[in-house]
Amino acid sequence: MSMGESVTCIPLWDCLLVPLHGDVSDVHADALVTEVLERIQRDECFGVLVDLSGVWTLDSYLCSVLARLAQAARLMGAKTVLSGMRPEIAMTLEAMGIELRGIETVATLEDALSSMGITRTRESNKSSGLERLGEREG
Amino acid sequence: MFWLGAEFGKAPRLASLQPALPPAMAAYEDDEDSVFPIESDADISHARTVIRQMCGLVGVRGYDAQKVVTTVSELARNIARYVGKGEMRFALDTVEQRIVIVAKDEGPGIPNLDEILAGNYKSRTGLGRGLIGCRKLADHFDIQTSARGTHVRAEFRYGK
Repeated sequence: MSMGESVTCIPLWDCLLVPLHGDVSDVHADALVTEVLERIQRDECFGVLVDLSGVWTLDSYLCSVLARLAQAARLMGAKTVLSGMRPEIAMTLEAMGIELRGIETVATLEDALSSMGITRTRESNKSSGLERLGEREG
Repeated sequence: MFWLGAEFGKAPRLASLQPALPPAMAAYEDDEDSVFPIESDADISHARTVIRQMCGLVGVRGYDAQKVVTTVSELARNIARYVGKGEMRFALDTVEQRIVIVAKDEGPGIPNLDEILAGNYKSRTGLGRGLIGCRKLADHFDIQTSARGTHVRAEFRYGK
């Protein structure tokens, strides 16, 4: 139960990582919108990554809240990407005819990050990242 | 058919349980204990948690469980949001292998039900989507509405 539970917003460079988990109550969902929008302004974020991999259920209300969040965030200049939707949840939404229109949805958090232009540069154990950069340039 | 006791998901009530049945399965047929009052946001969450545990109890997982839990969530919200007060009951029919969900309220009814179920009604808050969604998810869906209230029954088969 999410009563009294605070919204988790993790700053990630100029993005916000918002992991949802367990049972997301309507009160919690509404609080999420307010909190994320305030954080976008305060932390000057341009991206919101909502990870759904820990969510038990996604119903019409939570979907409408996420759509509302994405819409409002867009007006503030931030892009919202949903990641980690489990297959059974995707199947349920599809069966119900619920579309998450206007929100980019990707499979994993890695995909969400790369959609924000954040990618990982692999470093070998022997050479430091700087050296590797030097190698590339040279 | 076993109606799920309202204590389900909470600590077992020791004194009144029938010893032969595990706490969650105790038969309460038409007992007031098997009714889950739906009023607040917390009641919606509780209903979801209870039905989720019930699904686990009979080995209903994945998409099948998701369909049941989502239906309960939609029906509970409709009561809490549009009527303000009502009740839900969950039953496990181990003979027919089905999960039965009943949602009941004594609200003003849904005057534009036909329009909603035909998919012509667009609500910003999502009442229409929720009801159509439930009908699509359930193996059997029945809704009766009048000025004296609304009664919804949704059934889900499990097993083979």
